[in-house]
Amino acid sequence: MTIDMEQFKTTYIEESHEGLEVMESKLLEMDAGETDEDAINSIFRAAHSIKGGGATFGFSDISNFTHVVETLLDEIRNGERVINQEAIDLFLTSVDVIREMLTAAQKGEAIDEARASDVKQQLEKMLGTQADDPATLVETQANPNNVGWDIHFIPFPEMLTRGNDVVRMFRELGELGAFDVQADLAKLPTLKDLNPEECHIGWKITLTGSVLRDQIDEIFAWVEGDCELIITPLADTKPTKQDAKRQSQAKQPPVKVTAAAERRVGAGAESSSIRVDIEKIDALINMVGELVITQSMLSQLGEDFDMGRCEKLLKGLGQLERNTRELQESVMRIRMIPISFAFNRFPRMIHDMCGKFGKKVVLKLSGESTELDKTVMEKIGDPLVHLVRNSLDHGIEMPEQRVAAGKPESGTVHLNAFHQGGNIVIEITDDGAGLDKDKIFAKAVEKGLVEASTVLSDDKIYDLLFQPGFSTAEQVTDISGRGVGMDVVKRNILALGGSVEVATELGCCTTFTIRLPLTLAILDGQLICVGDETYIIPLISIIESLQVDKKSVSAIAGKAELYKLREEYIPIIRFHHVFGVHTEKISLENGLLVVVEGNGYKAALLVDDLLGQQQVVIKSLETNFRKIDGVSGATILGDGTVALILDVAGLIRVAQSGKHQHPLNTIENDGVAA
Amino acid sequence: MINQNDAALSAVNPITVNCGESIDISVVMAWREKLLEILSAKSAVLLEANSVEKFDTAGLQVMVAFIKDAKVQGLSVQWLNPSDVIRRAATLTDLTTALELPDVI
Amino acid sequence: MANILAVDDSASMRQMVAFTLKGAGHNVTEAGDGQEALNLAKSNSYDLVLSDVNMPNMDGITLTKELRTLSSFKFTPILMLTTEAGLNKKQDGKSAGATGWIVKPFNPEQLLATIKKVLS
Repeated sequence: MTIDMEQFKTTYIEESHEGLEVMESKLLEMDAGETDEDAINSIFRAAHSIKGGGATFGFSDISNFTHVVETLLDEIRNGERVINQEAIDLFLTSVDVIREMLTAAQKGEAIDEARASDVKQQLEKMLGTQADDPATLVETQANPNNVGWDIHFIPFPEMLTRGNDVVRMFRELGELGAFDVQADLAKLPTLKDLNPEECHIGWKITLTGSVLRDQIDEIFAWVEGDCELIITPLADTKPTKQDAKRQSQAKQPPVKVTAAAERRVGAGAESSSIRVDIEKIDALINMVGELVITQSMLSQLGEDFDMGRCEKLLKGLGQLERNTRELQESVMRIRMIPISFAFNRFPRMIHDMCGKFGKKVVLKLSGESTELDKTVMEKIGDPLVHLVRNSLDHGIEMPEQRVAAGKPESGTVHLNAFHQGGNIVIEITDDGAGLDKDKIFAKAVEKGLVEASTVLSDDKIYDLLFQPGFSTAEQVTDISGRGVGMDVVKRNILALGGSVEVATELGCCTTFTIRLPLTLAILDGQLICVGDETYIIPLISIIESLQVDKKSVSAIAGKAELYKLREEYIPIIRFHHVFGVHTEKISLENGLLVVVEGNGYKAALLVDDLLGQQQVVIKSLETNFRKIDGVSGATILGDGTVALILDVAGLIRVAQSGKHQHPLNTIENDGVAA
Repeated sequence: MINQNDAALSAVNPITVNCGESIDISVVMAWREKLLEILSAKSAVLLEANSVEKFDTAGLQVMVAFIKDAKVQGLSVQWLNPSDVIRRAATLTDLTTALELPDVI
Repeated sequence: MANILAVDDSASMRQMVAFTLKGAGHNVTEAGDGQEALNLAKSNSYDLVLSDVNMPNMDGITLTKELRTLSSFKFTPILMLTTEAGLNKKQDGKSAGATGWIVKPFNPEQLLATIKKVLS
């Protein structure tokens, strides 16, 4: 269908003349130095409509000219620029120019280009820009062979609620090329546990054919930030951007560069081989040697065994245990690679971004040789990129601002990694402006994330940064205005069993601290028992265990049970209720509480007994059964029985939602709001 | 597999469900309730789905969860003339098998 | 065909959108700002809402937020008509509950192609 735009042009010209009158009268009422918000908004809207309509109805000269006016007005509207008499005069002249352009268009005459371009230059000078610079980030579009794409697509639960539909998106994808799709139902709960408005299915798509990355991006554009999306070219797995240093490291996973990195969240395209230091292999061989010696000693002992040699047997078994543990550690160490693999991309990234922003930043790296599991490393790459980008964009001030604040002209971003306990800690510190908690709170209120009347501790305020829908950018830049938000960063880190915290001092510095387990395969656990069942609580989630002191238990309105621990009231979760386990020990009196923390919330779990602590090998429940809220996996214990590993954050959520699985629940024991 | 005993069950007294025109996100909450009720009746189920016009991701998901659970309980679920809309949506999302849609004759 | 609510304070844009959609067989209701649209939405139901962002009385973001609180608009596709520069602020639209956006300037063909994405 072709539609003649001519018929709308008259309306456009008429309404634009009206718009100009509004602009003129409001400008004349305005006083320099004072920003009358309503007036500025009206002027901005009028300019905005004239620009938009101009572009739509084929008056590109009007649109281009008005664009500059609009940009200046937008800065004033956002409080980034004060309106002075010079600006008012220039805007008034601009109104005249636009009016002349409209009249010329109406009569089909040529416009006075010299005058228009002169005024436009004055506007641009005020704006401080030289012509348009639509600088885009590194293009990762290039896929020379272009045989197709692999797409991993995992919608976040809330994706469907905004009117987007996977079926329609896939129909469009199918129109681009040959389309092969695999659904992943591992996370789909039972019908009873399903909130049917949330999406719990993921998909892996192979799209073959000559398809441009842009075409795919367009289809997924509306759900960016509402899903995990990884798009990788088929066959051609070479890095899209290469530098010599990276090339020399043969087994580098596919390089994720800037724009691409923003999209790629979660499991990346993981390379299937690994480069291992010869030392590690040697250590492993040594270990196996010792194991063989122990084994032969034990078998010799068994050949003519009598009770007199019992002590020797026990000693041998002790040695076997030691060997096994050392062997296990050595094998795990093979998967460990230095974090420099992840840090290497930052010098270039910082260099490019400094050029773009006109900022001066020195990058300091330390602890690059700190090792962590390869899988963890691959998954932490993108969150790190985002945090560093965030530091540059929002943390470090412009050089002149820094000098004015008595700081060195160049800012510093410091990436530091070290081991602490069973964790790797990565710190991203910048000596920038720090976080303004009042501003963050005000922004959160404005975004509807919290009520204005809420009283929050400083930590909770900083935590708002990680809420979905929050962005502190006053000035939306093309660096941080797109891509994933801090909420996705946090979500990814939590998914790795880690945590992220922020500490800041206004005007001085901000530090993001990421804590991650060294490996995803093994976990330090506390075994507990409830009834006949054994469960494992990750040691990292446990704060302390204690015997119930009846005086510290209180019930709110007969609904919730709280335990007073020092100055805090912690909700009690009766474990047997949540998991529907039969046990004799249901009384709080003399009961045993394990105080745990997950995702910032604390809870006290009532359990029957504490058993030992041990390292357990994690087996996925999702791939072997299905996802269960409150359980992160399972393991096989020494006696061959299966024990579930608890996901503390999930467990607290389940308990609080009252969505218990056991029919015997009584209302008194339902969850408590923290 | 389970199909042998539920053939006997379904022969007794299958519940017939008229799927109407929509199984989509706007009505999916009600669908969940309805399907849970059907599960608790522990009977075989016939899904009459020839006039379904709206079938989206949420609709697919609730039906997949239902059919999965029914299977675990050993209940038979059969589609009667699923509409083209259902078939197309299932094919596009690789859920034809999970939905146990019958082969096209 | 579909019932569509088109919201824009610019009469020319509204005319163009309405003319295009009617030409493709849709029913179109026009509103000049967010408040007018919200009033219409309270007593009518639509299959799709197209809304400008910058408008007097009530802007498109607020309109989206308000519409999402109405049970009949909980899942209705809402598309923002926004400029390239406005795209940077698309997160505002998204977090208000918008389904997606159409970048201005657009021509009738682009408009029809885009709404096909949300109308089955």
